[in-house]
Amino acid sequence: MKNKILRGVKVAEGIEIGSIIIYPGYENEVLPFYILRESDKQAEIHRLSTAIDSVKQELKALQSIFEKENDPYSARIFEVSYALLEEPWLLEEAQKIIKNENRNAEYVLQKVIAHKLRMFERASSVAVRQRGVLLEEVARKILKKLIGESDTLASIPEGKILVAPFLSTFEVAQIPRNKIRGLALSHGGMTSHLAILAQTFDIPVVVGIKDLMRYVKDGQLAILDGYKGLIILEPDESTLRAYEAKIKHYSQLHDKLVDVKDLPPVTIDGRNIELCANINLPAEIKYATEFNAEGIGLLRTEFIFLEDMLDEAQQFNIYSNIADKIYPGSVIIRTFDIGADKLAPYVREDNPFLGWRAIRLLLKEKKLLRTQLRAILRASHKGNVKIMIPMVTTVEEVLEVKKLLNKIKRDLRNENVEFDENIDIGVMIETPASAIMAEVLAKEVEFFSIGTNDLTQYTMAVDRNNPYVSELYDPLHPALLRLVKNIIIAGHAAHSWVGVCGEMAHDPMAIPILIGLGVDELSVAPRFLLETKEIIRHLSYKETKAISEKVLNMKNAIEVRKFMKKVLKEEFHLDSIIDLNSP
Amino acid sequence: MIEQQVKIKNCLGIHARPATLISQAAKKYKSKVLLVKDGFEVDAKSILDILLLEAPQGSVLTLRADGPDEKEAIEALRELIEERKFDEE
Repeated sequence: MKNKILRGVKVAEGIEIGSIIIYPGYENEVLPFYILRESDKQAEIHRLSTAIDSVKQELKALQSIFEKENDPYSARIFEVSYALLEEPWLLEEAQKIIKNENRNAEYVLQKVIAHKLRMFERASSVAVRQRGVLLEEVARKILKKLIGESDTLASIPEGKILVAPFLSTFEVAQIPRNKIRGLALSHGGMTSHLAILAQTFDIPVVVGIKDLMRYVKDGQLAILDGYKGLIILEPDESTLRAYEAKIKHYSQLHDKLVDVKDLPPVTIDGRNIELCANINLPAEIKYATEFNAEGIGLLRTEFIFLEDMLDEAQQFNIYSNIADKIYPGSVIIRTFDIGADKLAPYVREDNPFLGWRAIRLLLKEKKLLRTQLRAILRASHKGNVKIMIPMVTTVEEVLEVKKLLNKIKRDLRNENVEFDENIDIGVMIETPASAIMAEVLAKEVEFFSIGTNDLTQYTMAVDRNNPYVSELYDPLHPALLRLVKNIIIAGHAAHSWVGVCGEMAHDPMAIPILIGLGVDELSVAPRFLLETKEIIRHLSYKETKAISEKVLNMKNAIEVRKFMKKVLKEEFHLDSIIDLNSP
Repeated sequence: MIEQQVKIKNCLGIHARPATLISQAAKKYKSKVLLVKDGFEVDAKSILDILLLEAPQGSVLTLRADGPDEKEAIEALRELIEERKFDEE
């Protein structure tokens, strides 16, 4: 079947063309089941205990690898798995069955684990049911050892696109980095932890591709598109050519942009824009520094919750590590934005995006906030750490955070702990209420950073993942642009600087408008740093002011985009750098 | 045999890491130690058992110990759960 396109969910971006190697995993294996001779029982028990021991050794090794990589939350899951195996229950129960039923180790292991898993599955709490995964993954690893298949992933040939129904966290951790070119899974429920491990590979990753295992063959040629979240099996000539052109475009762009790395983000008429990076994980700091980000404009901290929540000392280590690496630039740490779509195991809400999330949740769950603020303050002693509050709708929320912050400062002073007395505090403007009331908020904070993704959703009242209405989602709609203008004027009037950290900050058509409206800072994902800088360096501040006044008076986003496309090409000659035809 | 009630005070309740800490602490004693919640009993020395327990913040558990060092065992677990709050705060 030529050119079979299968869609999934994108986890990591990038495009690769390559041949496929299938890792069938556990589901497709036929496990050996047989009856033991009386004289073999002892040897069988020994075989199982050897397998368990060698898994334990591997877990210890994995734990220390991730500890060395300064990744305590990955290390932690291996630690808990190890502790599970240190307990005698597995071997004791297995021993009984081997003795009484004369069955082989694979059979017995499955039986014992299945019994335990049923206990987890029967639990009424979602949190408890999820914990079964830990056990399932450990069991799978022992089974692999028993059937002698432990090294298949470690020894996969280089340069292939890896396809599997499902991979456990252990299996992903085993894949030698930089060896595979892409990863495609049919299973959709990739745990967030797994997704993040996969992202550290820097290759395209697409998961949740239904029917993938049905159509895929070993050695088949495929295109994995991590931008669109799809895989094309046996692509035809024209598709192949189109994708080769795309890859060429990206690599040429990359070469062209390398030159701009050491140059400042300044317009041709001398307006300096602070260009920073958004990061989701401590490990990403290396990309930010590689592309010379001036600072971290947004450190999302939800990763703290990926497994067990990290305590104050662990959070402090991570925050100060990042602050050290970006010094003398600064890092803006956004307090936990949990709830809504992200990591909210505790409550079920009809309308989570309008519900209990971010600062609303933190002000009720004050211990979470206190622990985080203490860790941030302790990491601030060099003076390059700032705090940002997400999802603010009203000024009392800011005042309450400031009150708590002052209390923590007093505690730290009493404990003789060093911190930045004048730490900056800012608001992430992402609700229409905060955008409209920016004048009031500006008096309480040192900066604003506009979160344009949520601000657009809330202003246009549209869920951008809903295909029926997503057309309405466009931050270039004059409704948004007018709000942005209001925010900047209010911020500047109170001597607060104003940045943009949403995806709008790297949209080539939006950058001239934002600069024209007066933004001081743009914060983008590391891979957009160079392109954004190159665009800034082609602009004239004076001209962008006129342009932004003009688009504010347009009727809709379509009109704005059409106009901006022409401007980018004719005024700023940016058509050689950006692909003006891609959406 | 002695019993004592304890209240879970850390934000996240008993999840994987506290389960590890509880079992490590309980294993230091000879006595049999159980955690009881809503009539559901689990062995405090087994992580697997503790993982099956749903014990979010604010819930109340009964510690039950039986053996030569039952008093010490209960006190150690109470301290870990209520005072140290699993070192999370």
